Amino acid sequence: MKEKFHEYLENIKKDLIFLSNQVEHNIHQSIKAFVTNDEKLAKKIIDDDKKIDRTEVEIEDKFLGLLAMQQPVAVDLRFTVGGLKMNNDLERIGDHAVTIARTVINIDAGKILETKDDIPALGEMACKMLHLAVNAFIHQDAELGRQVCKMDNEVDDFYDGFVKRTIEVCKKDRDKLDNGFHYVRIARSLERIADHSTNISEDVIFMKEAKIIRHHFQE
Amino acid sequence: MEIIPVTEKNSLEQDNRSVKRNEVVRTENLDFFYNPESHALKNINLSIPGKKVTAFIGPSGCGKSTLLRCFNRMNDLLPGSYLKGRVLIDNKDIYANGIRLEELRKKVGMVFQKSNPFPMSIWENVAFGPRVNGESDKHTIEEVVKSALEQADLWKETKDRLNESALDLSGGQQQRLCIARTLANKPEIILMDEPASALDPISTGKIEETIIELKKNYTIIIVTHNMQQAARISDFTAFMMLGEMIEFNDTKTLFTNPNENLTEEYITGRFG
Ligand SMILES: Nc1ncnc2c1ncn2[C@@H]1O[C@H](COP(=O)(O)OP(=O)(O)O)[C@@H](O)[C@H]1O
Ligand SMILES: [Mg+2]
Repeated sequence: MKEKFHEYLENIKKDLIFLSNQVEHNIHQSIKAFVTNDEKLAKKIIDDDKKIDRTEVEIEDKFLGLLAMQQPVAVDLRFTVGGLKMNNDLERIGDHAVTIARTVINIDAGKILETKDDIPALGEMACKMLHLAVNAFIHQDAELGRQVCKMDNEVDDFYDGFVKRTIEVCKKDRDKLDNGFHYVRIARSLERIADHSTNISEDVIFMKEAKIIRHHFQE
Repeated sequence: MEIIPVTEKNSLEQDNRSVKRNEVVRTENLDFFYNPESHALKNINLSIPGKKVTAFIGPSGCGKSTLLRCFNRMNDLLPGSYLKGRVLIDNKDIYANGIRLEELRKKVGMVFQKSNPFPMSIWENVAFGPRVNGESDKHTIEEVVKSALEQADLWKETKDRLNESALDLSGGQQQRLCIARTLANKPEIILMDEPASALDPISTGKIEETIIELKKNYTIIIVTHNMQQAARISDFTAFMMLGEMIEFNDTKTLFTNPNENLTEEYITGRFG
């Protein structure tokens, strides 16, 4: 019975890694779609998100089955609770890829703002955090999780600066206002992805050390 | 530097033979389990050449780090894990009885995903290995520290502040310090697990330049998540999926004309 249980847990872990890969990929693609103004790619991203949603539901079902049938305790219970949260964060990150893709479709490619290059730069920071958070999960590495949490401030600062710079551009050139709004919306999604990656890292720390560090109570 | 020729026809056969010529690491039917349910590496057979950069790529969780950690027995630390098959370095089975772990880890150095400088000065970080290994001649240590920092391309930036805390360095500098610390042990092989994954693009570029310099004197095996990075800096690339080695090839062939459909699918989907 114990063996079956751990086999089941390992399987869910594999599913979560699979979902992580799908989500990481979709985010990368959404940034690429923005940079190259690729509407076709944007539509594919929106379509591929259905798979992500399906995987998320499957994983949730499996966790619920585990809770109901096996009543996990201690480290296994923490893995279950942390894993459920991570599953949810991953799905939300996937939704942000869709938001970015939808926005790309609305952008007027003729009116480029001077802050355009900041978006892939911000995207790279967010993707790095996501990737490292996933790695922290794979290795159950709380130390790496902590490092990811620290990276979030940098993303927030960059985002704030980006918004200010973009507003300045729009003030000078009202024609660019629509696109400026789209840019900010994309940057906002990227900033949120960094937040979700931080959540995932915190979940890993919780799974590993039974410490809840959300909202930074004890810092 | 020896260049391995690749012809259009029979490229795989050709370079497999060339690889064998200066093989440094070999695995034979290698299987690794974190626990009986977690079969992380499946029958890996690999031959890695000396004084080259070999990159491991593949989706997250496919076993790249696990494989890398088999080469200096880092996985030994995990209770419940076990390994089947063999890992040979310079034709010696590193899992055989009588292998001295300290010696192995000196010869096969490692740089991690997160930079982990010790909370001490820059100088002490680099001098740490030689001192622990019994070197006491001050002059020799000075030389080793300087040379290691130079090779890691950190000497110029730090030579006037060697007594400052390593923790005050930037992320990219900390990672290069970790490379210097590894080099101070005079390794032959350097394992790097996504060494640039937490760094900004400029620091990443510097690390890549350093790696290309280092391969003149060291065998480098690097896990990377970034395929452009693998294409830029490696001579050979191994593509893994779900614990299996799907394809091992010279980097150019793997990225332009892979032998396996799975490789093709992965790189076309992910490149860019
Ligand atoms: N410490 C560990 N305990 C149990 N399983 C692990 C551990 N580290 C990794 N694994 C499992 O081994 C597999 C390979 O992981 P890893 O080698 O880290 O992949 P990669 O480096 O390619 O992202 C994953 O499925 C992961 O869940
Ligand atoms: Mg890894």
